[in-house]
Amino acid sequence: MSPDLAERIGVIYETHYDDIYYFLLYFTGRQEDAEDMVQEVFSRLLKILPRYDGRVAMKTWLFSIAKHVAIDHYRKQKWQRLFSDNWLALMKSTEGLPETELETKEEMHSIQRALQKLKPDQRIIVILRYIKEYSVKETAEILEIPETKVRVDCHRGLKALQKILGNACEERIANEFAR
Amino acid sequence: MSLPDENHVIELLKQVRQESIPPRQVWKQMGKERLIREAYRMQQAAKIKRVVAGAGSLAAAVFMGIWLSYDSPLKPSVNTETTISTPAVITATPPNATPSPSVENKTKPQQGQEDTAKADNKIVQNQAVTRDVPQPQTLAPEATTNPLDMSRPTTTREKSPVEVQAEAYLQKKLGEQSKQFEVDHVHSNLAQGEVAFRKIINGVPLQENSAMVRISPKTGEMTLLLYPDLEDSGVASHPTNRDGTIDKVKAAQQMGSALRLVYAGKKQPGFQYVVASDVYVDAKTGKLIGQERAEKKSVAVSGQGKPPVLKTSDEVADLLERKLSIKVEQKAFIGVNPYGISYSWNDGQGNGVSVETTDDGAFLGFSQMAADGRKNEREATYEQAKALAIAHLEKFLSTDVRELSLEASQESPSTIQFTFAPKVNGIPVMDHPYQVSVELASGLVTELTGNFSDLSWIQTDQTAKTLSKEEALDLFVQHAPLELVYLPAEKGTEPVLAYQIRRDSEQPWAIEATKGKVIN
Repeated sequence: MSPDLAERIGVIYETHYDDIYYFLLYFTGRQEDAEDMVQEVFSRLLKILPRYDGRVAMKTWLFSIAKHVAIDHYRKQKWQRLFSDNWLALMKSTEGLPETELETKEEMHSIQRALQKLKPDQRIIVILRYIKEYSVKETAEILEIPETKVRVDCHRGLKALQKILGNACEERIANEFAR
Repeated sequence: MSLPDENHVIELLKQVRQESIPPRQVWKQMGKERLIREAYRMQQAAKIKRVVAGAGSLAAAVFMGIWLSYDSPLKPSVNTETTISTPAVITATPPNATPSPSVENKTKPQQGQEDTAKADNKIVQNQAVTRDVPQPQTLAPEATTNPLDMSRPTTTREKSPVEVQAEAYLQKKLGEQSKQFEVDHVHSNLAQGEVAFRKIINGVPLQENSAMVRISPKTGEMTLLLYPDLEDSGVASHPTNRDGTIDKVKAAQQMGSALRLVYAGKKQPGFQYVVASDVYVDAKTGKLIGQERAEKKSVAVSGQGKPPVLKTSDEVADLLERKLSIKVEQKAFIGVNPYGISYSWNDGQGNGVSVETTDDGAFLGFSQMAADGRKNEREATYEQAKALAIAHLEKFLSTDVRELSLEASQESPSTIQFTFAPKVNGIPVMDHPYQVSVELASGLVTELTGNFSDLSWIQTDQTAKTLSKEEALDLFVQHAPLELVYLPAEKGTEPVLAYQIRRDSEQPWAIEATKGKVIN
């Protein structure tokens, strides 16, 4: 084991923390969960760091661990999510906002909710491509899949989002009528 | 209703980035410090491991496992020489005596609790005494002069802080009722913070764990698990009737017939005479219970070679294909657990395979599941399942393993789990088991685990003169700490009063086979 393991992990942590944190925040929608999961990612990295041979970029390696941590988390939380909607707790109150700002907030609310309804694999690819704005090549590297699969999955992810947003809009209108 | 425009969705996604909550710096800093502490601990563990390996001290390794799991702050400055030279002393004052500052409030009992713990300690000991005292009156008269009483269980042994803490917690939760419980070493796992208790009914303990206190090694959080009400087992309604029970000497003679010579011992490995822990003597009939379990069958095997060191997902995938004809795609899901590293593949449709290795990459076993394998119809017979288990084991066994002892086979409706011990020069090596589970409906080997390193570490002295079985039996009759217990009653039957070897330490009671010293 390298004698400067503590120093190495400290530097990697400082360099990549924010990137991994935001990725996991988009994935989970909860700051507390994201923070816990970042810790898990770096803990796992620490265990295998001595065998890091530099063949892949550290960032790619970290995202690959983060992906597994995220899916692991998704499996654990699946049932809890059926009974709670964490995004609601995250959103600030929209009362008293000007109409345009309110609309924007509602749209943000909707897209974030929709994102949470995507399957984990699709969610990860949409986050990397459209929120983190990685190129197709970078996304393919991080996920260790061919670029063509990235393109196809991105397309499917967007279609799924469109569908979820469309359904949400229909529901909202139906609710308005019901009042 | 038309769907939102795709470009608009992409724009919204980009905005998510601006709207997200930034990380909390305090939390981030705390995380970094924790990680660096973890890194120091890993370095220290590696250093200790090297020294331990050099000294060949398994006891120190066991201690290290316990010590590390308690998150001890004694990190970089630990003198490895001290660690090795005094394992017993350190083990006697385990880690929560110096808990990590971050968990101190949780792990360290309150003053009141400590006092209660001390009081409880006395209670348990006193209880043991009161339980022992009436026995000579109710048992056959020779019991009073029985030499076995000289080797009564070590009820005055010093309890570890984990046990004391667990007793205090039990007392807090159950109050007076907690006095009916005593620590059950057989079912405890102190390294994992699990302290089992057995209930004393009518002055006789129930030979099954009745309660369990779990103390999280990381957070110090305690939980109590009470097993289904013991009153239902029928034991409480049957007052202890010791009329007609055989005396301990007879019981010891009977139990001693199941003595076998093995190579065992974690602290000081060597030849020992032992009796399997699941062998009892019926106190009324004087017959052995579990005799068939005591008779271990030998199996000739032909190890196909030492498995390679597996350090990457590709190497694991290659091993799966070569040895088990399992083809996997893409990289594995890598899991890091306290015992090593796991490489898992799952197709999301119920088919999956996982391989475990040590941190150094040594193969520790695999498990697999098949979506269409879990039927409850038993299509494979016991013998077929055993043959499958052995055939799979041979693929991973070192070439120097030529004979195995079938130590146990546990059957459930759908699977059989076989436990094998390697034999060296015809003597089974304990503490080194291979376990293989076979699904009966599909004939699939669902799990295979063990330490597959070669057996060169075993120092079997060919010239060492060991005691004969008769000599061992004499010693057994003189010293074995037998105790009366209730065996769990099966439905519709009365609980069985039986003799067993009492255990008060981690290792099973045994007789060192060259000098005849009792190991307890």
